[in-house]
Amino acid sequence: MRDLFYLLLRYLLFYRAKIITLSLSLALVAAIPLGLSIVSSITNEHLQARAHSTPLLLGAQGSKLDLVLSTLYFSDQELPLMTYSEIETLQESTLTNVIPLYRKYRVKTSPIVGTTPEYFAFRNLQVQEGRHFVRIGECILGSDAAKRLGVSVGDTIISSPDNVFDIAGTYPLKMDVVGVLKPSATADDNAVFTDIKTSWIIEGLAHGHDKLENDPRSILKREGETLIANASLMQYSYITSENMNSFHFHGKQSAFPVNAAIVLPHDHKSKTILMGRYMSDNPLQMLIEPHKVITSLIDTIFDIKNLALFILLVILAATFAIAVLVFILSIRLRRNELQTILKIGASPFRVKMLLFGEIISVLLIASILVSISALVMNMLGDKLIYLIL
Amino acid sequence: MLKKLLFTFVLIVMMNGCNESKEQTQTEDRTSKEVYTVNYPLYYFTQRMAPKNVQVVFPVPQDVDPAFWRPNTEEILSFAQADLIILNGADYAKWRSTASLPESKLINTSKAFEKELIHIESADHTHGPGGEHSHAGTAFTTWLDMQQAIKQAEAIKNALILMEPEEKEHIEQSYLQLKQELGGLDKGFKNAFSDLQRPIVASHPVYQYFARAYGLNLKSLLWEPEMKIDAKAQADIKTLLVVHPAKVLIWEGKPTTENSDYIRNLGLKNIVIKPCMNLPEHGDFITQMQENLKRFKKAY
Amino acid sequence: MIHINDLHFSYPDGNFSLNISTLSINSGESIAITGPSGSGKTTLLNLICGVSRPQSGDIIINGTSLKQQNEKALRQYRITHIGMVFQSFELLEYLNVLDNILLPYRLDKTLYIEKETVERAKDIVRTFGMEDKLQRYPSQLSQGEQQRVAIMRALITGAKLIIADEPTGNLDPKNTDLVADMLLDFVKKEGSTLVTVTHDHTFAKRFDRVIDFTQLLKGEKDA
Repeated sequence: MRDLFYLLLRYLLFYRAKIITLSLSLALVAAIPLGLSIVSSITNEHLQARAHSTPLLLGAQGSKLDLVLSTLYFSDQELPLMTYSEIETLQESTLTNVIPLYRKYRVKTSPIVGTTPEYFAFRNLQVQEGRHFVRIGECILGSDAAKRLGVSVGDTIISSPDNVFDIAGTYPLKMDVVGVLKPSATADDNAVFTDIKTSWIIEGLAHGHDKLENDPRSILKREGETLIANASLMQYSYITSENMNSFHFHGKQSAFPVNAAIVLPHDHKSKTILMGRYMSDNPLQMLIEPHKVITSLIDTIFDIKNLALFILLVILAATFAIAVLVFILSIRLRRNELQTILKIGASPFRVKMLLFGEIISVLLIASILVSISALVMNMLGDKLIYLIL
Repeated sequence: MLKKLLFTFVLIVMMNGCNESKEQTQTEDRTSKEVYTVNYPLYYFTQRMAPKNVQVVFPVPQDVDPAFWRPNTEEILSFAQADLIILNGADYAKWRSTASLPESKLINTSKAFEKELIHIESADHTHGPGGEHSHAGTAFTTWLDMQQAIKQAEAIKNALILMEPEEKEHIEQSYLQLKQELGGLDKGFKNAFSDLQRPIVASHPVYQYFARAYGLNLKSLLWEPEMKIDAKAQADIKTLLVVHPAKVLIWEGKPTTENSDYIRNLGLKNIVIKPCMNLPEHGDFITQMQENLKRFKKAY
Repeated sequence: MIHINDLHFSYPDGNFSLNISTLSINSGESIAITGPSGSGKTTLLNLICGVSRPQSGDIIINGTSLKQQNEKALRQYRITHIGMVFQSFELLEYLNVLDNILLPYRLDKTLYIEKETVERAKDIVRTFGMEDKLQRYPSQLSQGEQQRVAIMRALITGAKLIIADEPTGNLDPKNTDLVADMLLDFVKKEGSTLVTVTHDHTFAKRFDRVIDFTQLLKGEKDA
């Protein structure tokens, strides 16, 4: 047997280009449908898990799918806005807890998610390093966001401008990184979390500045009790313990913008009442069950996947047929060699083994490559989903 | 015989011990909870009603005005980790606007009378393209109106019952007792001030609800009990007395001798009515209010 | 060493048949069989090797009757006792010179490559003047060199019967002489029997005996 393997090995090494090409071709054509199955299975699992763990989502009327994808997976869909008063209304109903979300800005490629501390308990996100934010101007990062931005506790990050041309609009806010979360294999890993009030500060709905009375140079004019400031009044882009107390919001919080809210009814009865209210009374907002939206999405993906799989299987069959042809031609080309070996005195079994050894080797190498790619796909499947989304 | 007696005695002791430890275990089985409050009156109300396993915390140092207290990061973290956070509402605890606290644990005790809160105008200013806007404040000593205090206590009661439903009976009973006491104070203040249309001056603008609730014709200065009444202050009070000829000046704390003499020389009586924002040096909220009433009755 | 008696062989389609009444080859003799193409010389060599089986008659090599051996025994006998050289060299493209020479050892489980085997191979390679080409592949060798490797492969097991089918058929005159010298010298030294089929009469003259295949078929006694 050892001699047989030796001869087989020498054959494979000598014709490695042919063997590798054949193996790679077969592996590729087999790996693609397998990979598709794996990724769609992982996607399905993740999407479903995240959706099932979120009872209800509140958003402005619009695309339900956009609301789900943007809120649960922080994908880039732009959502129509609601006002915070909708959150307050729900909170006052005593039927539910509500977790508001405001997501508009980014730190490079990581979305800034403005929310409240309840988000972390709800998603079971634990702190790996540091602590949760407790003030405006602080943020806590998902594990991937921290790695990607190359920051850790004690560092600062700056929000990216919404639009490079919007010079007079929102300005970047420097934030203190107070914590890094443990990896959760969800979209949360790539997010920068901050208090929703901090998001509103980035939006320009609040700012800090020196008291006008303290710096007469910044007063343009006085109209009775009213002081009007001039442009020299410095508006801060970094909240520190020294200037924090000067930060204030203009306008009522109930008018401030929110993309969406995670709604956690206390019980089934509360959920039913809420759903009923939003279906009948509210033309401006929608209250949806994410798992239903995701199930519908997955059904569509499944149909497309099946079609793609069918096409790929046809390609696989064609590739296999070509491989068989190559093997047949190889046998023909080796006829003299095999007859010589027989004449010298090799048994027909040995000759067959040499021949089939080539075929088995190609199939084995292809299988190993497919297995490795399946393993890699399984390991990276989680991250792949969020890259795609 | 002695051995039998000894054995029986030991057995009885052991059984008692087991029972006690069982009770202790039963008590320990109920998780201890923490409730944080932002001022002394709320702390007092919560303490009166909270079951044994609930620890009520009021972290503001005694020499600091809780309305203007600024907690550090650790203190805010402690608030955030509490099971309940009792807020006054009416824009009290201004540090809240820059802090991040879990909304589901916040109890706004003045929610029930939100529409009746008193707003104060302050200096306006403008900047940027947004136009003129106001930083109006809200009077926050809501508990000085005893009926409002009862509503605040009721809000705390409801929150405690939600948190510890097995203790509903105890909490309800405690609330009713507290309500009765606050009701008594309310009646006492109403009776004391019922015919009092005479102008009154307050040294500091913290009596808005008190004045409204008990029909006081009150105007306020911006004085502190220990401050020096300088020429400007003198001019302010004299100007005020021209249009508001008060005979009584209410201090929020004991004034200096100098200050009380000056006021007396102006023909006004000095009365201390403590708003009780922080822990009193002696007594509690109820006894402090009773003392306030006594002092006022004595003055009139 | 080799005795053939009343040998009859024909292909299943009946297009060709071969009849040899008698043939004897002595041990250590070098025999060249000449004759026209298609006369059946290669078929005779296949019968002697046991690659083909006659319909009747027998071939006895060193007292062993090939008729009485089964396929497995014939193969075994062939690989251990007979060295074969083919006209088209028939080297394995994917094996280097040394591996090609040692090929018989890798085709039979009763043969083992030991230290002595490798030493013997190296001695043979030195004799045939290719010691610096052990790691080369057939595509890197000239035709003469390839045929030398094929011959060395036939000699490596120490077989006492060497069967060569047109060993110089594809070589130029210079290489023909070279290969012929090396082969004949080696078998002489080893005392091996060499049976060769060739068209080349000049090459045939160097052998101990030349057999006219046509005459053999007619039944004329071997010389």
